[in-house]
Amino acid sequence: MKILVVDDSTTMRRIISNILKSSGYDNIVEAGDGVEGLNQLQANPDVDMVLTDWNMPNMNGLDFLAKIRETIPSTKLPVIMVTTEAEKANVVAAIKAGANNYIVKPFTPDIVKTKLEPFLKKD
Amino acid sequence: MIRGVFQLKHVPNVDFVHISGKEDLLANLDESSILLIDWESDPPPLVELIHAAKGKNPNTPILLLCPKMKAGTALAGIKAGAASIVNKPLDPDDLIRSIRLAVQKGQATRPTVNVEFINPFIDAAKNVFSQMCQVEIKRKKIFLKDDYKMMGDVSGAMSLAGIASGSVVVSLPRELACMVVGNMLGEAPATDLTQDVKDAVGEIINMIAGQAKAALVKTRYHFTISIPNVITDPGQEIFHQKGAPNIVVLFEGAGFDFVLQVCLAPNDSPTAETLEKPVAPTA
Repeated sequence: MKILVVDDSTTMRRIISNILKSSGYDNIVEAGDGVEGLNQLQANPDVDMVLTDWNMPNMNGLDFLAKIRETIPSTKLPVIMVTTEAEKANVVAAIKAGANNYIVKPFTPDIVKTKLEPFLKKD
Repeated sequence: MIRGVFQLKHVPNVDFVHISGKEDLLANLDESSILLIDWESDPPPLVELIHAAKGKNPNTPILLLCPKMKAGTALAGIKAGAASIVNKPLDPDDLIRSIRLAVQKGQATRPTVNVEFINPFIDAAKNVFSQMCQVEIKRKKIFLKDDYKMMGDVSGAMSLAGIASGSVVVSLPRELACMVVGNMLGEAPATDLTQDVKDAVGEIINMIAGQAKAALVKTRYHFTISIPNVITDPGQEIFHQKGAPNIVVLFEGAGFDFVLQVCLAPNDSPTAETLEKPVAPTA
């Protein structure tokens, strides 16, 4: 299973990647913003799941999500928002835009694993 | 005499008195005094001087003249009651501006700390350090700072805009920042203020601001957040509304002191006439 992690913080990308790797998912590609994320999706059409931050330069996570959903439905490619935007209105906006789940920072590894569990598949 | 302080001799209506110790200080200090302390002595005598001055006249504005590299340790002086830090080598304009601000603050009625908006930031900081950094932190003290300068070796700053505006800044000593990034990544502590450390500090303030923002929704302190900045120049000013209170929360974690500065005011408040941009760091 290939997972795309999009966050402008390299620290956060490494934290998320470490959690995924500890669960046995080590086929990970990364991007630093929405534009890079779209490029990675084009270069890696076999990506099975996307985890994306909200506040990023160049293209934010919500716009990135909307771009994905123009061509790929949520049943084909799960997108999980991982963000500090914890307000209910933001969660609703993300789900309306096509997010499959929503993880609020700060988080523990257990929270991430629980939220991702329905979308993870073993190779 | 410190270069730069000499400039004060040319300012009208300023009597310049050089004091060399506690007894000398107490003999010369009066209600119109402004105390400039050169940070070349070790912290204990310096803290003792500040306590002595505050004991005689609690409203005495005290400025620490401090090399940039020691700004983190000058926290001891701020904790003891100094109003502000002025970086050495001294920029005369910066010095005079800092003195003027300290005097204005001393003359004005001091605003009280508004728990309505500060508590969500404190709670957020505790959650972020506990969950992401594996460091349990404890609040030691809250106080109002008379200037808008950053403290600590590395600061993560988030400008806040919306119904309320201002900024929130977390400032860490080098050792704690290095330890924290190691904990976040499950690795050994960093050995210096690397890009990884700076990135991690940025992410810490991002999470603190985000969580506080959610708690303040539907209040007059609601704001939006953007992309954090990371600063290693402790003399730089944080983004603030003119006259807005700069609340400093002193925390202890893993044996280190660090601070969270929150400078936030509703845009309809009387102080919100002007948004002051941060002053460019001096060389």
